[in-house]
Amino acid sequence: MKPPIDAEGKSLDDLRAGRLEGLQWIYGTFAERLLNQCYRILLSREQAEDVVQDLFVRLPSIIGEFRGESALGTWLYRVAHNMCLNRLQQAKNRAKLEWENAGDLAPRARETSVELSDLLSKAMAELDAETRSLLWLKEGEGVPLKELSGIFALPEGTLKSRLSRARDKVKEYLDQEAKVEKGA
Amino acid sequence: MKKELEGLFRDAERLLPPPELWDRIASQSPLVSAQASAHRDPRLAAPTGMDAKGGAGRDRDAGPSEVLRALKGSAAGKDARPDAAWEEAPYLRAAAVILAAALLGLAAFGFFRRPAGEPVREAAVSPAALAGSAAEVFDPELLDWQASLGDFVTEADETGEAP
Repeated sequence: MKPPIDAEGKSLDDLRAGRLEGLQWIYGTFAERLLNQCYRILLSREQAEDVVQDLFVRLPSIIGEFRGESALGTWLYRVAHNMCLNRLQQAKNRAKLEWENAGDLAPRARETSVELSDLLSKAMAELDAETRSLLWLKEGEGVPLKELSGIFALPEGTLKSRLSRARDKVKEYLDQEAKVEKGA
Repeated sequence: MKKELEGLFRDAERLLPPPELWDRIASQSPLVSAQASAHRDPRLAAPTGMDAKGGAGRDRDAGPSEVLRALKGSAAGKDARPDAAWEEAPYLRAAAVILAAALLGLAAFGFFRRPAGEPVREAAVSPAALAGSAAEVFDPELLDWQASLGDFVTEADETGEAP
């Protein structure tokens, strides 16, 4: 293992040694990006903050899983992505259970509470959570395809076609919105 | 349309972590800042279950391995300090008292015992010698008179007369 020469390496050493400064540096560097990634997946600011908080509280205990095979940011994106999907799955299961227990014909709850604060959020709400995460990281954060392949554990070709379909869907939504505006 | 899409993402709302988010993380995190650990009250560093005596494992400067060793020792009924074991084990104290008493007993026995090889001292006066010496001390006639006096008393008892 190479000796730490940069700030990221030092912060990792600090974190592994149980010093809060290490966590603080990682938070200062990545928290905003992770928060926005979670927000685009969960479509809820409150839930996004919850996930980011949970991630950083648990980071000292899971940092042993990070072996330096990818950049720390890439690894954190993957962790955040998985945590968001887990949360959505739990919410979905809970909603399904509640609906089944209710035994009536109430409309099935959405997988998450959606805060449609801007046009992009509205467009992305048309996509499934995993595709939202992929599209946001590619277009919103500018993560290269190679890194995305590491985050989603999928070949670049598969990601490219998924991204293409996602873009088409968003465009389609924007076109519809534009037509509605024109009609109004 | 592609430019429109790019513009959509570029102009998208970006969230900023609220200041209290870090406070919540820091308060829940098990980590301690280097500054705080440097100024930490040393009493807080003492492992739980330790008393104020300051024995092994209670040493505030002891490293984690030392503390663990001490904890293991105390768990097995032992202590890392040899003298501490002596102080804190009542059965050891009792055994020492018994040993000391036994040693004292042995010493006393050896002190009063006759030296080895010394012959057993004979009786100071044999019966024969005693008889001889009595004859020397007492007049034989007087002894005869004492014997006749006995006969006289016997007769008086039989007749019922006072001597």
